[in-house]
Amino acid sequence: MGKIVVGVDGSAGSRDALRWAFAEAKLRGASLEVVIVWQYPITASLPTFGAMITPQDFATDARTELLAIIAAEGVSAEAPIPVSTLVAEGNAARALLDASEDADLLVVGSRGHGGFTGVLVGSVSQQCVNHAKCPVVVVHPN
Amino acid sequence: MTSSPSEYTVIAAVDFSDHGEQIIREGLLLARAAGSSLHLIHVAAGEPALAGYDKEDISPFTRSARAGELTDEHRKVRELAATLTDTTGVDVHPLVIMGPASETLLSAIDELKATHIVLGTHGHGGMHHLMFGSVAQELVRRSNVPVLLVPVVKR
Repeated sequence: MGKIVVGVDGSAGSRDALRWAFAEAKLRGASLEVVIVWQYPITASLPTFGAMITPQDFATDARTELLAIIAAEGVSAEAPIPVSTLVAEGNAARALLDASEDADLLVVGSRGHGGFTGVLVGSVSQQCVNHAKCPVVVVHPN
Repeated sequence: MTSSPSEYTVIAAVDFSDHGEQIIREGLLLARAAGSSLHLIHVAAGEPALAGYDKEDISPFTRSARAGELTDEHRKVRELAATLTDTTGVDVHPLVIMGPASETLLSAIDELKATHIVLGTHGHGGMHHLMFGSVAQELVRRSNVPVLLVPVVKR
């Protein structure tokens, strides 16, 4: 069975990517792995001890968001294909590349949350295209 | 993304590099799964650009050599499409268009109402070792349809 990996971050572009990946996985009879990546925020000073957010909190938040996105985009638990989720910590492109190591397709939105005005192709999608071993689909928001 | 699967129209952009097979394979996978046809497009370079010369000044020899090449390229794409249609059951339509690669592919997407385009990540223009080819980059930036990029990296 083939495997399709899709990266989501809650942005509109990544939701389009998720819908496309789900439809394609159903067409091909492939499994779908939905990946969300979280990172420690960069802070100028350390928060007071006790107010520090633990890695578990970040990971739990990320998982909650991921499940909400999956539900909102109609990728149901009763999908005709196996759907798995992965919550990864660190650099988004790195995590997607690792997850797609043995995949048939890696799907990303053309632009996520990151980047700045003027950068039309998200830096994450660009890095994926540059370094992925499998074909990469860049999905554009309509 | 509103197009339903049965409305897929897939374009695979091929040149005759050894990379072409992978591009075609990915195009066929998309098309076959969706039950759609595949347009096999070869973008041929335009006339030799000789800045400062009128077209009439281009020697007849250069012109007929180029015409010969084009005929050859066209025959290759036709034969390839016919073979693929026979062996895969996917309707493969051959097309050779002359012009600058990214512009030509973008207008082909429009004209064919394509829903997907498949291409390699090395470009015609620019240096071969640029991993994200200039044509691919233009397409990702400017097309409205999903772009499937096939990496140069050998598996």
